[in-house]
Amino acid sequence: MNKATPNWEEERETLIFQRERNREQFHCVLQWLDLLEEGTNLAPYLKDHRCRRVAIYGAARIGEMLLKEIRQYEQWEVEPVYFLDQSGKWLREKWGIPVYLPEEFPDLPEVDMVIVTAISYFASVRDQLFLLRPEIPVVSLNTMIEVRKDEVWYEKR
Amino acid sequence: MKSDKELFLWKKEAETKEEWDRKCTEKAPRFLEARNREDFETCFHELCEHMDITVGTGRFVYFFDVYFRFGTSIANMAPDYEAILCQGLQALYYKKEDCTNTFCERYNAVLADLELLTDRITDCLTACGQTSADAADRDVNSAYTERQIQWFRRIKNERAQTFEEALQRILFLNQMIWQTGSWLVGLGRLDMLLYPYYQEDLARGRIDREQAGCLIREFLHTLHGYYWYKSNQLLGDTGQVMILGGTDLQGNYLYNDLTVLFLQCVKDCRLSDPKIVLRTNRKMPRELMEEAVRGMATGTGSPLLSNDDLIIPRLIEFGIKKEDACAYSTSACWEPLIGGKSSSMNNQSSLVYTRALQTMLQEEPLGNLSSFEAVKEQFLLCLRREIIKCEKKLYTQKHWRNTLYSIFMGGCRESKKDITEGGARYHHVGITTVGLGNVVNSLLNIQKYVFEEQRYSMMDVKKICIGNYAGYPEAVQLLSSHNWYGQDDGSAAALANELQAYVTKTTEDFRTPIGGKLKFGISGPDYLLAGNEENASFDGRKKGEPFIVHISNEDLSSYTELMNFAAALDYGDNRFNGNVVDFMVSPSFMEKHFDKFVTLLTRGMEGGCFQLQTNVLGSETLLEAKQSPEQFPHLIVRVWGFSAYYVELPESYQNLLLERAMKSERKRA
Repeated sequence: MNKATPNWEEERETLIFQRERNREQFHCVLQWLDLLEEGTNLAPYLKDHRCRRVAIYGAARIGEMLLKEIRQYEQWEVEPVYFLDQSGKWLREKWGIPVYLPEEFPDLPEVDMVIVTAISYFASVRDQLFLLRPEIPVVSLNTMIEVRKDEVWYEKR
Repeated sequence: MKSDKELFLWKKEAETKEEWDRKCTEKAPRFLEARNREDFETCFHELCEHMDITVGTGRFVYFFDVYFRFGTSIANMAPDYEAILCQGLQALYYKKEDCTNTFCERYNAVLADLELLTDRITDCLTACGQTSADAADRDVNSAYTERQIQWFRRIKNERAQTFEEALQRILFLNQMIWQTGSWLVGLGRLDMLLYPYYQEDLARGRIDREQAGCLIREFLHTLHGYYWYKSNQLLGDTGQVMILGGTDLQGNYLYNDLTVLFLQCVKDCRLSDPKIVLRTNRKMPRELMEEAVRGMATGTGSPLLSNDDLIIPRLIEFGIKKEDACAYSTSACWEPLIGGKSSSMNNQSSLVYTRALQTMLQEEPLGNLSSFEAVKEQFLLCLRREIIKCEKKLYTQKHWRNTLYSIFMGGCRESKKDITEGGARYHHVGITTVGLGNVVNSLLNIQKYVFEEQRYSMMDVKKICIGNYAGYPEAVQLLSSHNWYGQDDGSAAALANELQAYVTKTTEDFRTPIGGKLKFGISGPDYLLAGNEENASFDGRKKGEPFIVHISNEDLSSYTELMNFAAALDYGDNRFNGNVVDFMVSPSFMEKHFDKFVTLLTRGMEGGCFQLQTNVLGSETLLEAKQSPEQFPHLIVRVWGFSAYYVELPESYQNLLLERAMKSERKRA
């Protein structure tokens, strides 16, 4: 039986990508913590964008953190309606809300915005969702955090 | 021998390879360590003690040691050259009793090192004079060398004695500022600065006008040397700009024989740099405008015309003293700056208007945008986000202190503060902008096709811009057909003014940590690079295509219309950081209609154009140069605010110029 020769170059590329992804996520979380330390959160962004019902793209750790934050503040009056995630293949629910495959997006209930927590894949996710439902705004969690940080800086300057 | 392009690329590569640092360490072991500590004075000491001194065979001494690289420093300004012309270095020291803080100590230490370097130069010149192997060489150069030795001795404790010596002092200060990492070093108002020395030489019979012309030409060639080293983003982007002409306190036009001489010499030399900004006002004599147009006709892109009647009042309103406003020069391209007194970094960030459009389409619920007013309102909210980003960048950026620049910057000596700590008399900041024209066109298209004719919905607008016209092939032609920006029917100018007023409103209370205010202008260098990164806009521009260049419109059939449009723009409040009308003119047009063109420019400036520059070139020549670059090594073109050799530009810039030239010729044929 022939054992496939490992493709070291491919493996190396994958590791580099993973390292970069981890770095981006770490940076995102740090920024988020900075924001919380400033005594504020993402609520004003959602309010400015008249968001009542949101979908969260990415049901991994950061997705969970966002879900918890939204749930923690009832006064935000924002309802996380479902997750979009590849794990929707085998998982139909996580932390009490449904998980769907991104391909199912056109048939899912109306939301005001999709927040992408898979920040390293944002561009491709945005393009994919745009093709499926162009009317729904798709925003990266990173962008939301940056915008809020800039706003806080602006108010304090 | 490497070409300038090869040297430029080598410089860029070496910056990442750290090859220069290795070479530097061999020469001056303490330099890198001091650089890591951001210790300017030790770095400067190491530089003065160890830098290679290159004495050529030319009339002037001007050299760089490219291996000494300082940290990111404050840049894009002009030093106070007068301070080194009217006195020796020793007159600049703080006296013992005045030396009351660390800045003063550093200041005196840097001056001492500068003196040390002048000693080394003198020794080097003396040694070269004595050891030149070739007797003929020695004879030819001995007169130069002898004079040069005298100049570098006198620089310590005497004013410059002659026009030639004054030129040498300007070169010396200029090279030292470059050498300390402050790039894009302006040349200031050379005609006004040098006139007393020129006049004195003429009066004493030391030189005549023709000889002065020779000196200036050699001075220009000397400054042009090392342009690969000085180039910033693109080869030729050196920021070496001299300001000519001006306005006195009573509003009269100021110029002298040197103004004309510099214009003529730049025209004769046909170099891509240094370049000229010629200040104009209503009282400027026609002969001078004719001289300027003769210069433009050579295709060097010089001079850029800058309208004092608009700029001086704006500067005064902004808080600049009248006498300083009347003496304004510019930063590297077009941004008004009080040379020698202002540490205003005028090109610190770029506001990309189209990003706000993209944000609106991508992040906002479009269902709420049921009227054009609602679209505009939402767009402005998204624009605010971009403005805040720029402001934050300006507020948080850090620069190395630069004690050398502080010595030659009015205000630092009196305030006993470094230039980076707000020591200069003025320390505002500036941003450039790109994409205003594209946004104006896009919004006006939205008004027409979404809300008036209801041909498209806002969702279509989103699909067109995000999807790069996929599924809407007819829209490219339709949306680009109007090209409102530049037309003088009033709607585009009114909308542009409204958007600009919003930027003013958002930025008017901004202050840097050292108290600087923010200004901005319509012109910006990023029309190509930023355009490459941005999605399509609703004006027929596809994803990645360049933005509209400054204030330009090649679709118009008359120059007058564009000038009327420019005149209708509001440059008030803080909106004066460069607003350039950019013309493409074919050489044959210029030749056939020289007088009319002079009249056109005169009227245009009188009518309210803020600034104006031209590219006098034919598309056929550009096409030939693209195909056979070796035959056109000296073909000069105007890029954003500088001139460059066409064949040395990246292909994207070459193509853009070619496209604009072709468009312009077709329309005006």
